[in-house]
Amino acid sequence: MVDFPEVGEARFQAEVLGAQIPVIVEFTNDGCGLCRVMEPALASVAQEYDGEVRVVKVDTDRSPDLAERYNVRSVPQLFMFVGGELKARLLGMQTRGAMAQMIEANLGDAA
Amino acid sequence: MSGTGAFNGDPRLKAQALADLKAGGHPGWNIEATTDEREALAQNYGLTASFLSLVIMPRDAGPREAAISQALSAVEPGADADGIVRDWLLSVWSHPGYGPASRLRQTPAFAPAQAIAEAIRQGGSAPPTAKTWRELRKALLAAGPLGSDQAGYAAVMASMAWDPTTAPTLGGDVWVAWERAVNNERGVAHGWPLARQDELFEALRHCMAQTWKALGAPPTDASPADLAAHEAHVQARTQACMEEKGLVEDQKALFAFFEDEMRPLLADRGPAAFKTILDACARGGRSAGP
Repeated sequence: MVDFPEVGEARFQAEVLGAQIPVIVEFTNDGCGLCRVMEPALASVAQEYDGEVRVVKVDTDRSPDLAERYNVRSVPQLFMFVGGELKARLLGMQTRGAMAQMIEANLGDAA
Repeated sequence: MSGTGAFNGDPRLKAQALADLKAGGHPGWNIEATTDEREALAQNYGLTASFLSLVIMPRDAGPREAAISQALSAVEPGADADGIVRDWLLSVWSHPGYGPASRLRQTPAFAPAQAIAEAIRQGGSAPPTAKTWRELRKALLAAGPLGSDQAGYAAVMASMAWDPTTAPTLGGDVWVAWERAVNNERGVAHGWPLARQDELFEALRHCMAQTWKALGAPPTDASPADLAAHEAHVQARTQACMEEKGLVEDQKALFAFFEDEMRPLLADRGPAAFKTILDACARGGRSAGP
């Protein structure tokens, strides 16, 4: 099982908005079954794009303010930030292909 | 998987696998199983995690346990489980009703998608490296422009283009991508692409959350009449919230779309897609190349 680093309100600015490389944020929580189904796909993507894209998670129960700020009402949701700017948002369970689509479409913006 | 193929080539092990499935004896049968649990289950029965992730995923073919049982029953002991997955991927690619090949044929994505299918075909004897998969995927995703309906089929092919040894849920992942592509295509045709559906449901959940926050849960000792009144109040308030957002007509239209378009689609696509798995299982991976 892959344990993506969890980012809360205190570190979101530095680790996501201020990051040097693009960041994918998975909004999740302990009760999210689809997140568990999706996890191996997200892990493959994190491994594939290691060094180019960072993957972190936000627990919506432990960080309700972040969920509120980004209007997250259901999980899983993936957000891609590039240079502190929100570039893409995917709601619901996603596949490797959809994640790769999102990354490839926005990686150019990181250059 | 052992060198003797599925179920280690032993019909008794196949019978044990089916009994274990029926008893729900191993956590690896669960759709939410971890990769470790799935791999342990695969090891027990001479299968592979990718194969199991494929047969465990379908949801449109009735009860999940029955669907898994049907698929496993179709696999001969000694069959090539990873070959079955490759064979299935190729049957998805060229599926006459819902395949990416027909949907992408007139687009710039066709040639790179076909290159992915060819790499899968050769995967049994000459597995591409992770670098090659990435190049294939990148070429596909750079090909455009695509309509939003076609982009879903490109995502199916992009979901196939991974090294199966580092993507143990590849089979199930492609199943989901295919399901979403077909649903999205129908949605696009009627003004309801999946992204728009997701956003509307998210707005509905937002309204429901606000309502529950305002009203709270009913008292634990509430009478059936009080519960019904509370429920009606929740619904009315949620609808009022949707009205404030100007989404009531959209909500009605989406529900009508589900009834008129998605229900018949699911009735056709579900069994057709499930049949691709059964057929691949019955072929035993032999037609997927060496």
